[in-house]
Amino acid sequence: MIEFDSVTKQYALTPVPALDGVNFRVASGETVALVGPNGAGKTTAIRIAVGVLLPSGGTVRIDGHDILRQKKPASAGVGWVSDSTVFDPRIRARALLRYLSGFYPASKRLSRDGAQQKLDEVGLGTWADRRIGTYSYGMRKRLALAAADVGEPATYVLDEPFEGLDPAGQAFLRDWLDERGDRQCSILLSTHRLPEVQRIANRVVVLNLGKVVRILDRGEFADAKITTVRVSGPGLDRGASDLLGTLGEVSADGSDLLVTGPSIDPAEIAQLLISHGYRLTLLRPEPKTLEEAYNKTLGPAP
Amino acid sequence: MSSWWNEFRTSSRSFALVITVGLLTGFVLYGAVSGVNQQYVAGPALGGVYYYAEGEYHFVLYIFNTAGDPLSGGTASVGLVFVASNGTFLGAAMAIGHPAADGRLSLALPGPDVSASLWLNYSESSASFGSISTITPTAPGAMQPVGFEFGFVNVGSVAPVAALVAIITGPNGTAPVGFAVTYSYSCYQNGSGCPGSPTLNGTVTTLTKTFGVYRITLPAKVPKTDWLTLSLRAPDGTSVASQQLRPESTPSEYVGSPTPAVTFLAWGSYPFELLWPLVGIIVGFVVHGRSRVGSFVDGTLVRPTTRVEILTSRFGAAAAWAALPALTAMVTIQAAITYWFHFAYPFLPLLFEGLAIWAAILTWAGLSILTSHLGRSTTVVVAVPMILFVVFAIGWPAFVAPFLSPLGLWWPPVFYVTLANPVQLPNLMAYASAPSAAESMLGHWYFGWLAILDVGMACLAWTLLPFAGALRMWTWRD
Repeated sequence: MIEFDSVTKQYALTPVPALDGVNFRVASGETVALVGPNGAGKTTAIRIAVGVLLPSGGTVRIDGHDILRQKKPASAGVGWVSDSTVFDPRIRARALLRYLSGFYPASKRLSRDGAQQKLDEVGLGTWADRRIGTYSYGMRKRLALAAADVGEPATYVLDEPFEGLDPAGQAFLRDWLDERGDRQCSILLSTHRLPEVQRIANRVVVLNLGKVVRILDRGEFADAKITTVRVSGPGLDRGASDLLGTLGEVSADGSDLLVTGPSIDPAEIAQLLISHGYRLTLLRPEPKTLEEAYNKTLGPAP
Repeated sequence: MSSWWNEFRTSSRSFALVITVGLLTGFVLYGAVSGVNQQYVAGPALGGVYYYAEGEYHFVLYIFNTAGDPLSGGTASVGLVFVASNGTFLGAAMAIGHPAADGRLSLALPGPDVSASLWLNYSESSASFGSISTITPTAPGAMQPVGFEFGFVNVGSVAPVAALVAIITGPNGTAPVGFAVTYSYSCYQNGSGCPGSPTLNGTVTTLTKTFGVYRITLPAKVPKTDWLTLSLRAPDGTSVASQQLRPESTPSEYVGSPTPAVTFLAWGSYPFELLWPLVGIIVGFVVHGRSRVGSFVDGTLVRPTTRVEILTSRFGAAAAWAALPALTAMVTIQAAITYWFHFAYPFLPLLFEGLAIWAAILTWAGLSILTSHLGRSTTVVVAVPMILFVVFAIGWPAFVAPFLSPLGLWWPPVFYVTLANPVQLPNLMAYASAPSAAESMLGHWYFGWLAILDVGMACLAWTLLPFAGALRMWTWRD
């Protein structure tokens, strides 16, 4: 479980805080996606969550342990997949995993064979004794997954895990995440890939300019529950727009009106307009994607 | 195995560290050996006894090094200049020879039975030694019935060691069978004695060989201000010759002056001293700076460990590596002194020397580690300590001088403040561990616990402050 409690990060020499009072939590067995435009503070939030960056205020708790004041027990329960490689390219993968396991209790330390098994699991078995510097970007990502698994944590924090992966790698990562989801692990991941989020996330935290601007439950973005209904007909004036505004957000697309909102029922639109004397020539539900919800939350791109 | 040890062990293992520190250790090893060796060959001494018989002066010479061991590679010469009592020059004689493997050389020079100036010289490729004295064999009573000569060997005010070489012959060059050397040691400052000072008396050894060259170790050191009376006693117990020796007044003063361990190393490794900061910078970069610059440390920090644990373990690794050349210097100097000088050097000066090397390397490792928290660029992490080195080597004295020069550069506090920068740590330690060197410039009063405190604080500050600064910066919440 991860809890962000009023987390603030103010970098020196920058007027705007990278994070400004961020609050959200990732429950046990839950997968939460952190989305937002570049510079929103996603990576900062994730680095604070795993303890490699110190917050200016507030704290993060991992399974109830304060990452600042109880660093060791907090870190013992979390695995981190960084957006960039954080491994010395001169080290060999097997040696790296064994070194990293040395920070955990004896029962979790990896033997030579244990490290080999971890690497086998991510498809790097035959590369176990090669220097990391010889790995491709995708291989390093896989190694990062293996390294995150060292210590067998119950919480995973991933920063842009899908970036740089080929289709096979992406499929592997989906399976990897599903497996941990099945084990009731808590997963916090940041990504720009909204279709992936729509597929795997239970909730979405939308960050912009260091603030949480919206937290979407799965019901608000998955499948077609967020919908837009296109309405066409002669004489759809301001009055019609006001009427539809009681059901959802209304926008104009040419002479058509688009009504957007969760659980919008086209029949309800028809009944409302006809009862007020309007005629309809088209009433077509259009599935609303998370991407559209995301864009609507954040407004048009600058 | 704690996570601290896990990090310490891993950060200690580096091929770059093996190469860098190994190279420096090799230089230190070479410096220590060659330094002690230079001291060894730089101090030949020559002692001789003589008797006059049948119109000839018979000399039995013994050429020895600072350990009292025989030297045989060079050329010894004896010259006599005869002058009548009215000052008339009567003639001169000279003989040259090469000492045998046992350091002994017998020479005979014809000459009149008058007062003569004696000139002794020994030279070899790297050093020479000479002395001039007057001998007067004319009166039968003045004729030395036995040969009796002492030379101080490694009489150090630091060490409780007083070693002497005694060169003895029996009457007219016969074997000194049954003769013995006795000594008495008393404190006689200003000729009035020193109440409460110990007075030692005793027999050193009984000499039975035909030609005696004996290394005599006394049970107490001989302070420079005191006198040592040595007597040669015949088998019947009568004193047939005696000498009063004072370490600082003997011809063998050079041989017997205290030689601090730092001097040994300075002789041999001075050209390499600039390497110490460089090696320190590399050690700091390898154990921490590199992973900090490359963000590899984040992969470690996410584990169940803390910033304090990571930094202390890596600083510990740097300290362990810095200890290698330091320990090598200590062990090598001790071994070389034992081999060539035949006595165990006191531990404290050796420890000071080891600490000097250790602190010099660790200070720069700490500065390198600190720099890695100022900027995440290899150029910055390597260049800034280099610039600091120049600043401390050149800028510090220039910075300190205007404030302190009115007080006098050799006023002890000024002197030590001037030295108290990371470039000068070895020299600072040298002065603290070499009382004779410090005394010559600062006066006797300053050397002691005050200097040790001064040096200790400087070393502690320079080794710990950069580390503390790095820790503070890393744990700083913006």
